[in-house]
Amino acid sequence: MDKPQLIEHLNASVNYTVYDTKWIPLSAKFVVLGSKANSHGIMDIYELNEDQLVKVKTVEKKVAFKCGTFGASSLRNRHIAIGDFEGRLQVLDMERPDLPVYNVKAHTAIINTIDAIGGNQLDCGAPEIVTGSRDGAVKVWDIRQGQSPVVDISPPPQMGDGINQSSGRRDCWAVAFGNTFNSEERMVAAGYDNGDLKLFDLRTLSVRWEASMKNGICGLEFDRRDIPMNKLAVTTLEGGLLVYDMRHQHPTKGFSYVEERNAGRSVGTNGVISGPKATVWVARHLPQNRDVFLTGGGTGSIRLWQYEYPDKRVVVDADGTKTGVAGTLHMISAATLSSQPVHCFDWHPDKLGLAVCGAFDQSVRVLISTKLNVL
Amino acid sequence: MSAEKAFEMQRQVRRNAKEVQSSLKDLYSWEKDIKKKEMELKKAPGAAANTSMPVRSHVQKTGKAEHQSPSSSAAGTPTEKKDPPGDPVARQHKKANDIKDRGNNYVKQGEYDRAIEAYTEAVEVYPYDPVYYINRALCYIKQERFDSCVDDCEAAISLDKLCVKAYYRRMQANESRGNNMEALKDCTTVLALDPKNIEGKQSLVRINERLRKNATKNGPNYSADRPDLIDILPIEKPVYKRSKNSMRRVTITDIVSPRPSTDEAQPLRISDEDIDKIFNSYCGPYEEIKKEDLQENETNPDPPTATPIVKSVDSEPSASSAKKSPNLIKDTATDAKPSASSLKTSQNSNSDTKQTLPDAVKEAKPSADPKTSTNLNKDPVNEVKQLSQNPSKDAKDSKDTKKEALIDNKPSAAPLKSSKTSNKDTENEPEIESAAKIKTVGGATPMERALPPAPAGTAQFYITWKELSPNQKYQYLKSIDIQNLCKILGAGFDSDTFNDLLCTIQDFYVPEKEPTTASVLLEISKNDEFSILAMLMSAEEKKMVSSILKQLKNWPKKNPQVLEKLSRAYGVD
Repeated sequence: MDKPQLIEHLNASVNYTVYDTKWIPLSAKFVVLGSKANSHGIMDIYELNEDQLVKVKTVEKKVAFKCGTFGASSLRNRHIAIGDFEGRLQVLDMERPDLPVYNVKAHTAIINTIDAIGGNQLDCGAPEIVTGSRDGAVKVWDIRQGQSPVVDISPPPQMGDGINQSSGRRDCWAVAFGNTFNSEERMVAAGYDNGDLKLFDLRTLSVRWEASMKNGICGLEFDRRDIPMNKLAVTTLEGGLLVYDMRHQHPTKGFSYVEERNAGRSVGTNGVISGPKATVWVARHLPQNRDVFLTGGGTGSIRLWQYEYPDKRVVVDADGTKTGVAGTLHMISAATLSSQPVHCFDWHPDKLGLAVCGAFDQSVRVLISTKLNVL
Repeated sequence: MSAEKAFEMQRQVRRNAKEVQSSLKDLYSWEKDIKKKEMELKKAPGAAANTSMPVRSHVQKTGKAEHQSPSSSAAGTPTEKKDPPGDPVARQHKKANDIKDRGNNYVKQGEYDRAIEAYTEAVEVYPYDPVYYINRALCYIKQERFDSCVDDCEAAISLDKLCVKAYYRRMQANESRGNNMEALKDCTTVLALDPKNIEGKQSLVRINERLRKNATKNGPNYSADRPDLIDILPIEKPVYKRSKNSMRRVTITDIVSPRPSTDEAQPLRISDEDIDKIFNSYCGPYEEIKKEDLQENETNPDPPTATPIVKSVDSEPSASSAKKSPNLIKDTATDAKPSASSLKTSQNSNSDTKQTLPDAVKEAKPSADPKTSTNLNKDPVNEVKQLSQNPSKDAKDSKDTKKEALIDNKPSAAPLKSSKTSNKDTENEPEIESAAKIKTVGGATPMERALPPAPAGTAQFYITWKELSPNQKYQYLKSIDIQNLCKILGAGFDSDTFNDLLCTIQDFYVPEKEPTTASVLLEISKNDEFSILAMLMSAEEKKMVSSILKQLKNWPKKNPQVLEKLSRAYGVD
């Protein structure tokens, strides 16, 4: 009975397609990135004001925005890194959003996903931004270095590339930073539309590990970015949700995982899972508790999951190699917010249980969750 | 059992509601807190960015990139400059400049498409520098995309109103599009901004030529090309440069005749230079007025075309300045009088003079308007100027003639008449002499204009200075506040100006025993550039300075300390 509740606190209807929502760190404000009907990019800043949402600022640019992050910005200088539909990466200062602080034509096609790190964490390396695009490339950017990426992970040139750039290239749908526990180590996980999952080691500039899901990967997140890799949540089309235990890598079997195939389906009032296998768009770990995360699904429902570690996280087999042991997943709460997919979700970094999410029904919702602290 | 369950559920619902209530309350208080914190954060100084960490590609790699494509070369470019953390705007600008440089390289290679891309990128990074627009405009011209070029030029002009190149590119584009009138406008702007622009001058001639050709082909109201025809064009002046005087209404007489007959051609009674001054621009090559034409024209009693031309120019600043022109003309005309009469006396063909006198008077009378008559007076002056190319030697002779001239010079008709005669049947010899004399006497050169007001700034000073006659330089220099002189000379103070100043002081200040001479010299020596100029002084200049100082020492009111200082500063004893 003492389960957390997810309650819609506030709701704002907008006249554009929402693509991303992000809290501004250390404030009661969040930004909404989207695309207007005329395919202009729009960034709205809303502020919580008790029982209403106040729109503080609107910035409109020529190209639709797809994704954004504050991960590389310090608390004081609020710089949002935005990827847009034409492959441009720009870093905007929230106080002076007209002139980008950094602006680069990062990709030849839409930037699907973005992640950043190093803004406010200490001793965990340089602030960097990683972008994944339809052109198949994953690029890591450091805004201190001019117009070229610090790391460019693109598929090798293939036959027919010249004629149709995207012919043989897989669309990168998800990227995530992780393993940044000191100033050298850093990993980038990238998920592609064919279900490929790749783990790049930025220190050694090599692929650490590769795996393939049955479906395209929509969302990726490490439970924490700034610790040695612990868990990686992967969400896919057709309702797949996998959590990898990233502590121990077996030389041949790789990482072990736990899979939940019904994560995208809607949950009825009495707990009956029904409906089609809808995409799980996003997985977001609670900043205050890394074993709890939320997924947003294609049916407009969100679910709160808890990961339970096994008794022993590693087993040593006969020839001495270590294999990780995955734990178990429990759904602890579910709510249906919309008739359209909830595709972006962001927990407030400072306030437990406060979250903002966007759905394709052209609205943004502020959620509060109760009893998260008792989990 | 069921009752118990129902009760339990009710309790649960109530508890949940309470839970929500309390978490909402919690949220609101948190909101207040965080807003306060945010305010504090905003006031706090900006924390240093996390810049201690090196950029990844600058770090020595410990592993080898194996699975990466060859295109991942970015990871191996340690040569990339590291932008210093600083003002983000400056950083943007620098970045944009880097991109621009890339574009420039493309231009050099003739890859205009890529250059345009680069410039576009630069504009996006830093849209406040007109250079990117101008460069892109150039690429557009090369690609014959003139509309885009004009757009870019306009963008550049909106950023920098004095961007000569932008006007020039727009002129090129307009010319290519066949908008000759627009091109002409731009061309005059170019020349107004940069009068020495040779390309601009050539273009002006070219465009004028074409316009005239077109006009004679199509325009019914356009008179045929005549050698003395001068185009006066509207020019847009910035508001602050416009005349403060209210505009005067002028009656406009329509002088368009079915065909400009040859005898109708009326001389322009305002010299080209004056027109240029009025319109603050160069309106055409001066050579177009030929001596013969003038003489021919002078006998023409028709109303002068000069005024209508000025009137017909519809731009407002020119109209207001046209109003000023009579004064200007009068000034010069009065200056001209003695010289004109001197012309007459300098040549000894008196009989001719007498013969033509009645005619001249007759002609002068119909044009009762004093303005026109004074205008007429000026033409011979023009002549004098044109003829006085080779400096003459016989200064004494001419001085005598000058005296005569002054005696002779009584009625206003006299100079008129005399000038006519001189024009008609003078051999070149005496005329040159007289002209030379006018120069050497130096007082009032015939071409002298009204003394410009004291300069407000360095640029104004230099522009005006160059155009002045020695005497005017003296007057002009005197009009400048001595305290400001050093500032007005500014960083542009060069050896030419220095030499000019010294000459002016030697030729005018010293003979006039100007009490400010020492302080002017002192003020000049305070200029930042002076130390270098003093070092590079030629022997002549040194001689000049020492003679000036020697003179100064002989004056009754001298200040030995100042003199001491001067001689030290100028490096002479």
